[in-house]
Amino acid sequence: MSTDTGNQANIDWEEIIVRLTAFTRSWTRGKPWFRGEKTTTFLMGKEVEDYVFAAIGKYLEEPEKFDPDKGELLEYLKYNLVRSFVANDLRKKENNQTDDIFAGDNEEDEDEGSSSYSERVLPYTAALFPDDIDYSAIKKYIEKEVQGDADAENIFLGIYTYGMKRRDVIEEFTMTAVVFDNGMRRLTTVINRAAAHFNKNTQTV
Amino acid sequence: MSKKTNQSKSDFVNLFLSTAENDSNSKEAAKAFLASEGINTEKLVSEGLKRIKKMQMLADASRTENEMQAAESVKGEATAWVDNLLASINFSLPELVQREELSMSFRNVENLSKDDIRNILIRHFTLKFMNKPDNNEK
Repeated sequence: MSTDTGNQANIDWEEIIVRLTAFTRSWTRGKPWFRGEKTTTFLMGKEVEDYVFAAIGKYLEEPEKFDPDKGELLEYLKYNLVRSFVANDLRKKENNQTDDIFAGDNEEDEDEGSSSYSERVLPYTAALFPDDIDYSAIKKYIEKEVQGDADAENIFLGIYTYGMKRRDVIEEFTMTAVVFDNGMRRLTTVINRAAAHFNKNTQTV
Repeated sequence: MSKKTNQSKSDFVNLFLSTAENDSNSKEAAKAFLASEGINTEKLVSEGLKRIKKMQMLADASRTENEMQAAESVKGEATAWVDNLLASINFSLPELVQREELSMSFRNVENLSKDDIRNILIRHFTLKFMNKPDNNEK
């Protein structure tokens, strides 16, 4: 996929649309986690696709803001999307859970400016997750649930404990991409179950 | 929040993010995920491409308008500069022609009126100011 900022004619928009929409839909699935289904913040009444195309539109208006040295165009768009979701969440008066990651942040602060777009997504995503959750207990719950499923166990170990990416896990545990994808699917099911189990809004804890 | 809790949260968020990354890891993976969500990918793409084309046209139009406005503004600067220059008591056209390498434009200087000279200089300085790095973003 081309990421040349100066030549939009080479961009595979079809791939961008499909992958960015999938990322955003998957990412927003975590919305009800710890917040309850009725949260009004976050999407502000719009559809996921509206945010996807708003992020693309913003890039088209100011393509010079995209720096290919900091990652692919898709990563840049993901970062901008996540940023706008967090900003929406903070703007809502009823929200008192999101960390104010924008405090002192002027469009792009210096620390952020030096990191890659993919690295920047993590702190913005983390801002949406409350601090008063026992994350160690969630870890133990997931560990217990994946016990006996070697692939899911390895993927969990690689990602959670060692902060590995997909490619690293595949290499480290000498598994095929298909085995990884299937294992990741099972692990995602467990993560969703863990989220439901520990969701304080559903009073399951 | 303690450092340990902070780390556990960060590890968990990383795990959460990796599920979204995996769902969009490739075009095929993304299509499979969207299909599982009941999304009509073909419709999403065809409507999306139309939206992008429209946004591209609007962005291009806006850029052209900005460039035209910037050019007008630079032309105004150049005009003021030239008028000031021509009004200067020390002004010497031959010196200026040499300094600015304008001999081609003024090769028939004897046939040029004052207005012609002024217009040539305005055009020259407009282009010169526009090419200055400071004016690139105007």
